[in-house]
Amino acid sequence: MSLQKIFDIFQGITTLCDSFANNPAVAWTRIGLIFLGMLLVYLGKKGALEPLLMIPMGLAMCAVNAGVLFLDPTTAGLIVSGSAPLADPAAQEAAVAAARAGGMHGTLFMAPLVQEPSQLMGLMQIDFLQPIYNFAFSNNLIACLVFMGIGVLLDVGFVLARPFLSIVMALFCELGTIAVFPIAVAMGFTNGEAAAIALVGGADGPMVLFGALKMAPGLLVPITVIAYLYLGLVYGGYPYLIRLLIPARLRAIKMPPRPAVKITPAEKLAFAVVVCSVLCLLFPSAAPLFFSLFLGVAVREAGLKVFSSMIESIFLYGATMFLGVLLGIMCEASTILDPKVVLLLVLGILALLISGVGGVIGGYCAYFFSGRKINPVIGIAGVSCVPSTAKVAQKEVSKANPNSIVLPEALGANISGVITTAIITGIYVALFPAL
Amino acid sequence: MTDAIKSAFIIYGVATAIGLLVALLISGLFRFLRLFTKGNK
Repeated sequence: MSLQKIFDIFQGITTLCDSFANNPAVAWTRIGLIFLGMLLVYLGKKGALEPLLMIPMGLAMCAVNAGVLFLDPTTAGLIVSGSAPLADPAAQEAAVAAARAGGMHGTLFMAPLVQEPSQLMGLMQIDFLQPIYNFAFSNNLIACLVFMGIGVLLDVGFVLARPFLSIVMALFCELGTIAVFPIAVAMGFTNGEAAAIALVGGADGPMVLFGALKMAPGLLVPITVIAYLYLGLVYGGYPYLIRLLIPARLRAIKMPPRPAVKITPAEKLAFAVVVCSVLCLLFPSAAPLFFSLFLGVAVREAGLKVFSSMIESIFLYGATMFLGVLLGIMCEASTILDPKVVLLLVLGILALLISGVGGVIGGYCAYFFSGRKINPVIGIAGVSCVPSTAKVAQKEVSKANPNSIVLPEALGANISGVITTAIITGIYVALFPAL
Repeated sequence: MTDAIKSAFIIYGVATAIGLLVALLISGLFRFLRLFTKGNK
């Protein structure tokens, strides 16, 4: 057996060596992403990051960056001719030449940028995750299924109990979603791309996925991956932000007890139907998101237990698992090496930071306007990462004063955050469609 | 850049208006439903 035949058996290693010879940046990125994938699995297992998402995502990152092979000319040709043209014509020509010679690197998982239906049908016979990507991910079905699941888990009674406080807190938390837009435009991104990365400030994964797909399909992969990686920061970083900006004596404020308002499921159902209809009427382009969210709420409040258990246990967890897997698979070295990724990393963290600061400002406004009765920490719960930010707010308050309970108000702001982020997504998508 | 800042202000203004409208709607709906259920008793 010749040496070449042995290399053919171990193509993952051969393509890595080939990358070291021709494009060392890709080779090092592949190795880096394999280790990053392992780190995500570890952090998910430890509970530092969301395990439901990070374990499949980390494993997929390891697999896709390890399992790189030389694509056969047919597959490579389909990918090259079906992809969005590369920005650099020389790179496009080189890709075509490599594809023809059978020397193009790739994987058998999926090709995320292929759009042409005829070529897509060919790839679906080759790449095992291609059907899930095209039938569920690239048409936003996964985002909508996750949103339906979130709807089933939400108790909108917290918003109904204090609608104005909840919505105003949530609006303050949209500061990052708005402020990062002009900054990204100044950095050279198009309006759609800038809006898509600004949505990271809403800290709502499905919304970022929806927005990126509608406004910046070319940057879908890095924006979505960055958004989901940064969601962990909400849990890890916001406590420090709270401690930095709100002194312990204010964090310890015990809010005066309010008379308990019993909100019936029928009232919550009416809320879901009316608000869903109004928002769909105002923003038809984001109607799938509104519909999915309020469908979940309606199913829960109508007491349709068979549906709610199906959405919660099958749709939500199934969609979350494949979301994690597909995000990991999309973290290929060549995709991550786009020079825009560094800028996106900076803008994403900036958006989350400004949103957090905006939430604290909102909390202070509520504190002063209520005659110093409202605990300002609830402001940050308006960042719509349900229910993480509400839990973070309660945790920080409990540390300062174990007798202070802010969770109901924090959850109200938190759920309102989902609604306000969806409103802003609707506005952005209506103003800056990619097509 | 100036255009983008202007757009950002407008978008935030519209979002705030819609958000407050939703709050008003919730509050109004809630009161209406309460009146309705009380009336039935």
